[in-house]
Amino acid sequence: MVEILIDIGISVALLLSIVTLAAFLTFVERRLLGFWQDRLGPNRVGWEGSLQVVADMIKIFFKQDWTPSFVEPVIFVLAPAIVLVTVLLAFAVLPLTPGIGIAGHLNIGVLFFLGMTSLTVYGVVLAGWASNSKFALIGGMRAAAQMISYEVFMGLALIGVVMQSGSFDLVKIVEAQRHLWFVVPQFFGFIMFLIAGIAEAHRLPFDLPEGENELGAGFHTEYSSMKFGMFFVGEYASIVLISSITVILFFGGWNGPFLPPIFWFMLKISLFIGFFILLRAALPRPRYDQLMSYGWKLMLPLSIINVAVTGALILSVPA
Amino acid sequence: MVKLIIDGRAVEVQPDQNLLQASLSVNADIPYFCWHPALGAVGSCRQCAVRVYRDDDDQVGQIVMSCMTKLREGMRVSIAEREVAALRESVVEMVLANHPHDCPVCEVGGECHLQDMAVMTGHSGRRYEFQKRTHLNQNLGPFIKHEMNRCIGCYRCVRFYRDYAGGDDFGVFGSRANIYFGRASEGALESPFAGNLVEICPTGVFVDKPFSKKFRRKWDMRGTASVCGHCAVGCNVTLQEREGELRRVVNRYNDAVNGYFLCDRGRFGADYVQSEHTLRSARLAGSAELAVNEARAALARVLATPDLIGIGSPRASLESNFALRTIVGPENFYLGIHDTAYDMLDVAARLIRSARMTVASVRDVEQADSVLIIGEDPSETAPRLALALRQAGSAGVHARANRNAIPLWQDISVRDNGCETPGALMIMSPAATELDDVAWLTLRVRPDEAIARAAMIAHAIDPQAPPCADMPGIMPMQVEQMAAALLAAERPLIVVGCMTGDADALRAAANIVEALMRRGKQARLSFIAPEVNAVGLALLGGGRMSACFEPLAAGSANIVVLENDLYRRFPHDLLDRAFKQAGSVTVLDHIETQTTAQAGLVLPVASMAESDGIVVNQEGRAQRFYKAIFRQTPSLPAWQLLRDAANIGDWPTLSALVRVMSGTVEGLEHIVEVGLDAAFRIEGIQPASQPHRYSGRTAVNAHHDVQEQAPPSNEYSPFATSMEGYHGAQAGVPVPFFWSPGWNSVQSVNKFQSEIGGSLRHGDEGVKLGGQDQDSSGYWPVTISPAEPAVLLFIPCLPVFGGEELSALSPAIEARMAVPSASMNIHTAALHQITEGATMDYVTQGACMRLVTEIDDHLPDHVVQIVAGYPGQPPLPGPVHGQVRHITARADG
Amino acid sequence: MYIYSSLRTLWFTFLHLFHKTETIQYPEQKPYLSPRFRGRIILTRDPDGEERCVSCYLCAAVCPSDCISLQKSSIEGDWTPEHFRINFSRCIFCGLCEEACPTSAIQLTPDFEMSEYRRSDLVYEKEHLLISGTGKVPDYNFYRVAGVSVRGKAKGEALNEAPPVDARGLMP
Repeated sequence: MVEILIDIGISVALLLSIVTLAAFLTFVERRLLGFWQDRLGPNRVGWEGSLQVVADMIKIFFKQDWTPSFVEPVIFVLAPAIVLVTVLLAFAVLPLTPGIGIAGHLNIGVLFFLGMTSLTVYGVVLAGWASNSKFALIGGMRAAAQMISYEVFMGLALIGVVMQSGSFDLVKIVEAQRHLWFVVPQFFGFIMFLIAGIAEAHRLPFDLPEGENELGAGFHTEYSSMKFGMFFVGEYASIVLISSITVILFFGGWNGPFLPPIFWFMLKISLFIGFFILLRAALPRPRYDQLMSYGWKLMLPLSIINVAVTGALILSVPA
Repeated sequence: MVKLIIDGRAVEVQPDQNLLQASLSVNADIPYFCWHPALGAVGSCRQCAVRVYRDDDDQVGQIVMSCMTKLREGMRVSIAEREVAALRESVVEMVLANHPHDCPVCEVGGECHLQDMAVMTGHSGRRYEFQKRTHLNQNLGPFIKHEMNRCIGCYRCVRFYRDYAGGDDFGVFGSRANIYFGRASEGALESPFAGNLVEICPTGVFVDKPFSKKFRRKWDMRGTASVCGHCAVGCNVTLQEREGELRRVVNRYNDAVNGYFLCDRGRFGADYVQSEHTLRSARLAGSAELAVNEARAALARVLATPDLIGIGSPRASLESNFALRTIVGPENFYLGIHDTAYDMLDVAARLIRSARMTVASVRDVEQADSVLIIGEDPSETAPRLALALRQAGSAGVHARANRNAIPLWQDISVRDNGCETPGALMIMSPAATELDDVAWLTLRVRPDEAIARAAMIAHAIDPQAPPCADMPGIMPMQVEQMAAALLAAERPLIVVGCMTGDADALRAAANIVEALMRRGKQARLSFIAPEVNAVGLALLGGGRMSACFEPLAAGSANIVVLENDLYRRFPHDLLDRAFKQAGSVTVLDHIETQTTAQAGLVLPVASMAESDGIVVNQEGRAQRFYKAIFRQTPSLPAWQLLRDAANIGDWPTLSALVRVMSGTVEGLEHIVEVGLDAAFRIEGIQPASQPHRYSGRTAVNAHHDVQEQAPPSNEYSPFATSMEGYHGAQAGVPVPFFWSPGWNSVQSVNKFQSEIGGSLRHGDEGVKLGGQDQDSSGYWPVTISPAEPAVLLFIPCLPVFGGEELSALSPAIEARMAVPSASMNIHTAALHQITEGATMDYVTQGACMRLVTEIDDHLPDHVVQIVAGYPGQPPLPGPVHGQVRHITARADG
Repeated sequence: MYIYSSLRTLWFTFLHLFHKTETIQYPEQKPYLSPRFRGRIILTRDPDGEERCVSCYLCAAVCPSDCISLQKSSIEGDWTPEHFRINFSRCIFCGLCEEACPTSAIQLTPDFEMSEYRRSDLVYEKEHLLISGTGKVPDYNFYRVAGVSVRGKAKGEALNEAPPVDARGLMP
């Protein structure tokens, strides 16, 4: 009984901290973008703008929660929830440290993660469809096509890691990296996973579902107030998610000398989050057809080759 | 067709033009100033220089003025050649050396031919740094503002004013570089065509004075195709509006009607729509204003009563008249015009319906080569037609030029060559007319004598025509001379109007035309109808007013008067009696008149400028006018008001009403083809009526409401009221404003014509009605009712300025109205012991007019010409007998 | 090549973390605005103290957001605007009106602090726009070079003008 309560406590704490972190990232991103563009970014609310998130939250909660007359009301409301819930569910299998995590030892952890991320697309597509507007619909379509395309080799990119560690269990994968991070043997797998991850989170440069210069705001054009906020937080939560999973799969998770594991884990994901933001600051968005051909014609073959080579090496080199 | 090679481009052009005209007609732009399609070429401005090559081998060529160059088959021309282009630029530079730095404060800036030409030649910077020549201005009256500094000396103004329009109080003074265009002494320009100087002048020397007071640039005004409502010629005009105010009236080219020119009554007379006389609100007699819905309910109550009498109007649209006619029933609809006009219009309507008779358009009038005018002074009743008659007057000059192989565009040579040639007009009228100088024969006769002569001429041409009893004082030789002149012509024209007050004048004129046609001539008739839609009203048909007063005398009928001031037409005591006997009197009008003052119920309706509709001009040409002015609280058009009050469901739209009318009224079948249906679209979009550069959209109303208002909508017109829509010429679409890239001035009409000076490329406006009656040949019986000898005959004179009801309410026209007077010759004056300048009472049929007497020796004996038609004057519908009384001392005191 | 340039871009962007920021902390720290800064629009007067605007409508015509509305007064003689209205809630401060103005009447100033709580307060009439001075153009007086006779200046009295021609003189 007590264990269940502790587990629930950990889950709630984890969820709250992820959501808070995601919300705080909105501030971090703006600040970092500011610096990278020789600006200051938000620096007025609180010390150096640190309370900006609070201000934004107050604003977004007090905005009119408007459901346009022409939308499909039920699905319209449901869609942002699906996005946020699926992202948060994926966190369930993430082992932050050997002790912190909800279901770190799940023996299909990697598959669960893949399953949850692919469910996110439903939220986006439904949002686009339910909005009943052409911008939203095109955004949703783009999201669907992009996510399906990149999902394919995202899974394949992970197979190398799974093969090397011999398990879908994320804790075991982390433990298998005690001596050597998988980024070294699985460098190409890492690169491909990272690209697929960016696309999954539809972050710049792969934010074509939003594509504000041609689609208004893409799939969430018709959303306002906290429904929009859920998409927003969902996006940052998925940044955290992708960063975490990358760290777990390729960068040894919580492993690190001297300092407590949680510190190492946080440090590593912070660097990745920073990298995600840097990508946004630096790279332009590709054209939609470039995105698709890049996924199918380059990344998919590469990931298959990666699996084949890894397999061949594992079979040829005795353990 | 002649083949030309212009800058390497092979083109085919009409042969009898000059090179400039030919080039412009194939879109090869050559700058020009002094040439004008209607005035011909004089080669004075040296702007239209081009290089012409002798043959294919010639590489040098020579520079010529294209306006003075005849076309030659295979001619090779260069406009773009460097040297000649530089020459044109230097000419503009020299023209501009003395031109003041005025464009920002010049009314013509932005629609200035000089600006356009400077841009076209590429001249951009002033090098002349010395003193500029200046001139003093003259006050040229209420219409025209003079700014002589801007003159570039092209001579267009004098050529138009003197040579084309026949004015003689304006000219060119001075010598060498110091020429001055103006009057000998300050004063209003007398010619009723002076307003055209505004459009003729390539720059801003002559400026529309009333427009200057409510000035806006050309691009800031919404243009609407309309028809001038001030006489029956039906000139096409563009009404330019902004912020609910009519800013000015400009000419809208229509080859068959007004061409390039308007008269001043049309140009300056439209301000009645926004004068103090405009009727703004409904009222019941003796009570205060009625609210809109109360007034409509009151009208509905009136229309629900059984004994209805409808009185139509020659100044209301066909639609409104038809609506009233349908509601009261055709047997209870009366035309609302005097019986003499009724009789004439009845004959005129039959002539228009006849397939045999050709009623002349203004263009036809211009091309006539022998003209007989019977008892009318067209320069008073139809000024634009008089201008066309003046051109017809020089038929002899043109014939002589043709004999001597002088091209007709060689204006000076043609005129010099023909300076001794007599005019081609024959005028029989009681008073001197403006056209006398282009007539070879002028007879000052009473109307009955003119009609008798006309009947004799018909008989002299064709003996089958009914003879006419001899009248004293008619010389048979003179009649034969006139008959011979008509027979010698190819395209003879007979002009007759309502001034004779006798339908026999029209019958006699029709007989002459018939006789001439039987002799194989292309003869035409021109009937000068009294008001803008008089012919339309006659085609619609209805009872004569004398028949209307009979049921009134029986009592208790309810009268509905449509846009008609009956007090201008009928004796006041008669009307007062009739109105007293009537059950009720309802008047629908857009101005305050004596009739509205007498009415029980008065409702405001939309004027021509504020509504859509069709009017029929004197030749039976039905023309559509569109709503130009959009007010905050608009008045409805009369037909709509009547429809709603009588609850008629057949006409949900204007087009539906027109369809019903064309199906019901014989002779009006073709009016469905007139104008554009409200549903008309060009590739799915409405034609725009504002220029692209219409300004101030987000600020114009910002002081009332910072939120922008939607542009007004008009359910009856296809035109978008904003700049959003289709710009550019399209088949059948009346041009809302003439503009073409690089051609901001009125000269841009060149770009809309199929050939320069010809019809519009996308069709001239209007549909000619009539011509369906096959069995109408034959002569009319003519009876002459001689005037009583030695009794004074009062003949109305309707001055251009003030003789017409609506224009007289316009402030600019009001300023030109003279004191009404009576004229007679010295012999008559002596007979009645009247001295010049004496104020006398002129009495006829109960009406008494106190007028100043003037002596005019042109008038025949016993004829008194009385200036009529001014606001408040008793009616004088035609020649009547009367007497003159000295004012007694008591009456004086 | 594409990968190299992307990485290079990432690196250079990252280096901007160590650059000085360009931001000026506006309300506390005022920026330098040049005299030709395009801020609040004014109407100036000529050196004689008369209104410069001759209501030629060129500013209204050139305005891309159509936010200038004026009307020439109906009084004969001088051309002056009867009303002159700028809807600053529409103005985009492009300065085309100043460029189009032939008399240097309309000028843009370095003042841009003109926020209001109500949009209708951003509608400026002539009395709000007209200043007493000549603005950036101290000397120009349009009517001294124009050919029309106004403001007590008769024909031939403008700059570089000869006295009026005597049209009846016969001297060569």
